[in-house]
Amino acid sequence: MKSGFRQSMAWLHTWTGIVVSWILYFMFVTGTLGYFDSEIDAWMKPELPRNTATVQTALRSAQQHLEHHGQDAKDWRIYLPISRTEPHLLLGYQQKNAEGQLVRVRQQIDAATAEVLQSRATGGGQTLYRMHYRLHYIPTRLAYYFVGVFTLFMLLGLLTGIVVHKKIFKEFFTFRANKGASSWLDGHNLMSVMSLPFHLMITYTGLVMFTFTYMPFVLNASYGFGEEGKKQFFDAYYKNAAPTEASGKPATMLPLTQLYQNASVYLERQGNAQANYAIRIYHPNDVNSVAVFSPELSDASNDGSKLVMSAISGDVLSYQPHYSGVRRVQSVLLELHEGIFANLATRWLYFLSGGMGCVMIATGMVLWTKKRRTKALNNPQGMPFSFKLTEGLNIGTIVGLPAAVAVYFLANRLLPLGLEARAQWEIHCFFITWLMFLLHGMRLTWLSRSHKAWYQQWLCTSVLFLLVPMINGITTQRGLVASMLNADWVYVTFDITNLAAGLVCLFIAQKVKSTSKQVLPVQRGKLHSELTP
Amino acid sequence: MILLLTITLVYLGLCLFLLSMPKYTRALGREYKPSNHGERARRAGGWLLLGVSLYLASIPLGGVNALVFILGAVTAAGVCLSLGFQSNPKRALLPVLLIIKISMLIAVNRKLVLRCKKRS
Repeated sequence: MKSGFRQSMAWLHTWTGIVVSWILYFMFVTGTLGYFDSEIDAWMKPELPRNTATVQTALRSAQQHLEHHGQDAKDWRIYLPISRTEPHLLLGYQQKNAEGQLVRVRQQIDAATAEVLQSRATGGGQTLYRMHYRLHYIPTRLAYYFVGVFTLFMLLGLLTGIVVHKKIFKEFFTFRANKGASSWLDGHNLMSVMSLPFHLMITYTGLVMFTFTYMPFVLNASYGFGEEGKKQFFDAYYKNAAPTEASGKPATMLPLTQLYQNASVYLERQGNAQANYAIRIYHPNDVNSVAVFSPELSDASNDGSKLVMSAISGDVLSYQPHYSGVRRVQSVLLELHEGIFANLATRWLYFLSGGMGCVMIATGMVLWTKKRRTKALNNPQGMPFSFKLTEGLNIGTIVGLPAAVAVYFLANRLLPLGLEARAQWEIHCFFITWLMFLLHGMRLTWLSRSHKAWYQQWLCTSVLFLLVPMINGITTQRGLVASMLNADWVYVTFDITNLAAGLVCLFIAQKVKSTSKQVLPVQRGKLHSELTP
Repeated sequence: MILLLTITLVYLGLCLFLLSMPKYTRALGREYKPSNHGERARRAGGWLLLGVSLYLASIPLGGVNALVFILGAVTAAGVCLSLGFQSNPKRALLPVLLIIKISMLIAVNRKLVLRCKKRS
């Protein structure tokens, strides 16, 4: 610790920052990609055709499938293909297995033909998104606690950073290029300050998201310890339970199309113009059968809109325009974090802000080594172990993670379709790539060739990203040109984004190459003496 | 289209904020150094443009979404402006500099016209 408040904060900012930076960077990269999880899902399942069916046709297909396969189900869940999160009709219900037990089934249906859609086994965008709060290869609960601790450190880093950065407004637009450590500091400050509201929001709401995991005693005080108490609490809090009990007396339900029509008319009268995208039918074909409609989310403050109707008579039983009280506050915070309400433009801005978070962490990591490089080079015993380790981890993580993402996409196209645990292997490919980049970074750092490591890794990542649209064009019928001709904009944007990422990596590689030529003669001499045995 | 206009207005607003700080106007030359009054006027102009862009964004998005959008737009425009200003200050501020030049010309012309009127 240093004397003086600001110095102490600077010390805290530097050391807490570097210790958790690698995992925070992982969380930011995967979380940023999570803003386009549904689009990544769509790209990773190229067999699925684009939905062209209307809502009415989709409802008829859903009814046909559920009447046939979901007779024994306690509830039916219908997600209509009208929102970006559900490009295809998705049905959930229970079905009896060979032992006669009810098991939950989820099926993606072609809304036009009512046929079950088959696609390759893939982790998709959901896996990337989940990794940012569940990590991987470790138990989920433990991961939640780890992520909580890292998020707390992030919040600490942000707050101490605000204290340390004396001239936030005076140096709001300052960026000095080609000035060594000052440029890295400017870059770090620029990325932090410009998107500071986003960083504060995303970190705080990230903690709020796991309130009940990190502070379980409030819950335990009323519902007791153990899984049963927890289930009771969540059923009550999220109102997961069915609004009525099944009577056991059979009855004929109104067709789904008619129920949907009634619900739309009622909601329009209530001033809610959003289309219903999710329908849950509890106790289908029972006298007490009810249909619960959930309209699409239009902004962060109206989550929890719910209309309950009798599925037999079509009468409205209850209507809730949005959550109320504390639940609403929590819901607004969570919506702000997830950005589900965001339209395309806002989503891109979320993505951009997340990307800036990644750059902020990366520049902070580089700055740490940049500031200590001269001292490390002048160390008579050679470069300290801690410096080499940090630099190796920095290189392998900053460049290795984007490369791992590119390999994850490539694995989706190149792994055999019949491979057992294919989705898992996609993720294994992701982590193997990261590990390879870490080992490569470490090796070259130990040989005092960090510049070479940076250059080679950026170049390799560039090639990997540029390969994604190419391999997509070769292995599927939905290459860039074909997608353009079919106006399939999700595919077009995905391929172009990968091309852009490849070109950015290539530009960075070139930049690294040109700066490595400008290494100071003293450093070069030092490097040379370290290299010669 | 309206969102594109919003982002442009945010960018112009940030340009005005930048021009209200002598630290940055030094790179442009003495003629752009703001007086105390000019500093305040440019800052007020910046806030006004941000307010107008918030209003414009709220038309298609609604108030809550517009606020989220504007914060994102400030981030995006701010980074573009900072990087652009570093590489070529005049080009980065071109739209605002043009407006300032034109308003300066109008002001000078007005003074001349008034003087001529007084003489006649």
